Amino acid sequence: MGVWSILGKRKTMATNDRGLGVGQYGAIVWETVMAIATAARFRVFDGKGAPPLPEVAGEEVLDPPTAQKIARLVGLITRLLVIWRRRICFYRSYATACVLRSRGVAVALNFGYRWDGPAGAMAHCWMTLDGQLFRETEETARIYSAYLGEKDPSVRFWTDPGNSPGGHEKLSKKELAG
Amino acid sequence: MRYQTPEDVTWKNLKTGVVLLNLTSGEYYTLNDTAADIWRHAIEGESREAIVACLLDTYKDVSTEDLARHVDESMEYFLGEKLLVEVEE
Repeated sequence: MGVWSILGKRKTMATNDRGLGVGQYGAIVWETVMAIATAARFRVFDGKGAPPLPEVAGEEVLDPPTAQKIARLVGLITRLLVIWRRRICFYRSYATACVLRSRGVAVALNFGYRWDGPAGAMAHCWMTLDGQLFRETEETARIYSAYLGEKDPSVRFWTDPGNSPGGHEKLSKKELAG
Repeated sequence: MRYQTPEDVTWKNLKTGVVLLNLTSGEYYTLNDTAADIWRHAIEGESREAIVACLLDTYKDVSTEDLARHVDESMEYFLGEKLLVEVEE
């Protein structure tokens, strides 16, 4: 009985997973790897900011559960590949945004900065979808609640209104975003 | 000489001071109270001399020379980081 259950589950994931077949899983893995490589290359050679996000594909829009499933998969792959950083929020968010935008889901990137005296410079990168947090805790929105501006509608910047400036502190996103 | 912010620089007044962000480079800056005062006067289009004069009213225990030096250092920093650009009067 247990064997049949496992086999049945495998079959479901491989062929009938709301549009995610084996080929789709392979494509997602490949796109995630390429997105991480792009982000890493950008950080090494350009240093700051984020590489441009792909345009949102208009022809396909995923249902929310499938989008969540893809985001989980991308997050897992990112965690496995980005072994040189403990905090992977930038790589995870960028890769997820790339993969989902190419499937018609208009995920946007958000960067938050704060200066926490003893802890020093802090930064975080997260995703939003239609202005709502996407796979992110409310705590992030509470901390980074002061809107700073946007590079374009897909990349927005925030700060902590309780920020404690300590001088001409220049905080490079290269060093900060996880 | 007067100053203004480039299009790709955004800033925000917070209770604790001022934060600046270069949207192109992604670099983020925090200013302490003094630097924030200099910044606010600068982006209002005041000249270096006008900024010093205004701040003398606020910082009464600081000599004109010291204040002018602080303003010069801050303006040099802002210009060097391209947070401000000079505009002809």
